[in-house]
Amino acid sequence: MQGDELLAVTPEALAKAILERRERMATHLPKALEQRIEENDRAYGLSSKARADLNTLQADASNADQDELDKAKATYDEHEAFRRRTASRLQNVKNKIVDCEEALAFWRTMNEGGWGHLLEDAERLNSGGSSTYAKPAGRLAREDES
Amino acid sequence: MTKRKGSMFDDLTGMRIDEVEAKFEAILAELNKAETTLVEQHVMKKIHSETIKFAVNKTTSPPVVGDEHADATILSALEQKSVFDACLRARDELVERLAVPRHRVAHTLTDFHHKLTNSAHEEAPTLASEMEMFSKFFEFQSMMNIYNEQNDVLHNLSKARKRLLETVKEVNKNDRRLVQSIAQTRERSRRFRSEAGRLRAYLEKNSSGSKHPVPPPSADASERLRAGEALTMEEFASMLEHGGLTDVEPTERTKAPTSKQAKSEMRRTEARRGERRVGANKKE
Repeated sequence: MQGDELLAVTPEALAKAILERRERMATHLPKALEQRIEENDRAYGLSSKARADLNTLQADASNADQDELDKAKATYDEHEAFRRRTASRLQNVKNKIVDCEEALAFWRTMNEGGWGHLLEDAERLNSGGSSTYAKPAGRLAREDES
Repeated sequence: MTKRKGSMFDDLTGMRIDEVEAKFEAILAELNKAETTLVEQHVMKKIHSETIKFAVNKTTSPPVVGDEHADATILSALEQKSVFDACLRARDELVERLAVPRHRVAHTLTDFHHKLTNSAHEEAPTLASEMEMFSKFFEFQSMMNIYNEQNDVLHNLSKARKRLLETVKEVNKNDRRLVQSIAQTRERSRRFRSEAGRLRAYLEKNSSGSKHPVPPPSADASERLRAGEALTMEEFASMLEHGGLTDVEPTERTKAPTSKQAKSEMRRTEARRGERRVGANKKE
């Protein structure tokens, strides 16, 4: 969307477009959550197994070869890092689901009537005021004095 | 055999004294007229200079133009300057009020609309960002509308600037013409003064007593003397008679070196042409 079309966008239309995008997101998020849970479970399993192997080797220190020990340590570190990444991704999706629910509720409320403080700046400009980027009058006067 | 040089009064010898006097009076009248014109032209030149300076913001105060010096181009330039200033104030007020340039408003408007309605699942903004962008989107939309409404402010400013510059060029052209005219008037005045001096000398020679006093020096001559420019013999004579020369920087004259030593030092700087070189020891 460009130029004049953007000037014709109303708050209702924009809120509706946001809601539509949020609803599209909401349909995708459960599937993403399932994928992330499955990924996280797999990572947790790999990490647990690697930890167990490492513990076994460390417990039997007399028979363990140093190379084997190092290799088990590296495998554990790698799987643990993967587990942390998947846990972070899973948490991210969970946060998005919560945020999406809140956003859907918020934009539905807004769309039903009243825009609260969201249109304050635009209304101030339309009634002849200054933009939020303009320097306040007091600050301007102080700068002039200095 | 060389031809005998004619007298400077050859053309007057056949005339009667009263005719020469009448001619002298006529020349004096012409001289006065030329001097008055010269003063008027200097005043106009000053007004031209001040108008140009005011139009290009070199000075803040406009020139004082009396009714007798009112010129259509000057008045037009002053009027156009006030229109230009008003357009400039309107533009400054608009810029101060919105603070964000038009191209940035247009770019941000597109960017926010895309992020709010079409962003991919991974880079979707949070609810807090959405609220902020929603609010800013409509603020930028209002800014764009104001820019569109106030489009004529910028257009008028550009138009006023062009018109003013054209008029200033016209004033400058008139000023150059005036400079030429001043030079011509000055030359005419010089000729009249010279002729008046010649007639006065003739009358003094041919009648007893000085019936025809030297006319007083003009303000123009005094200014030229101060500027270090050359004077005609008539102007010099009128200054001698009316005391114009004594008014020029009397303090400097008192400070001039008078001792013999100072004089001799001054002389040493000059080339000694046509005289014998004598060493300091030999002199003694």
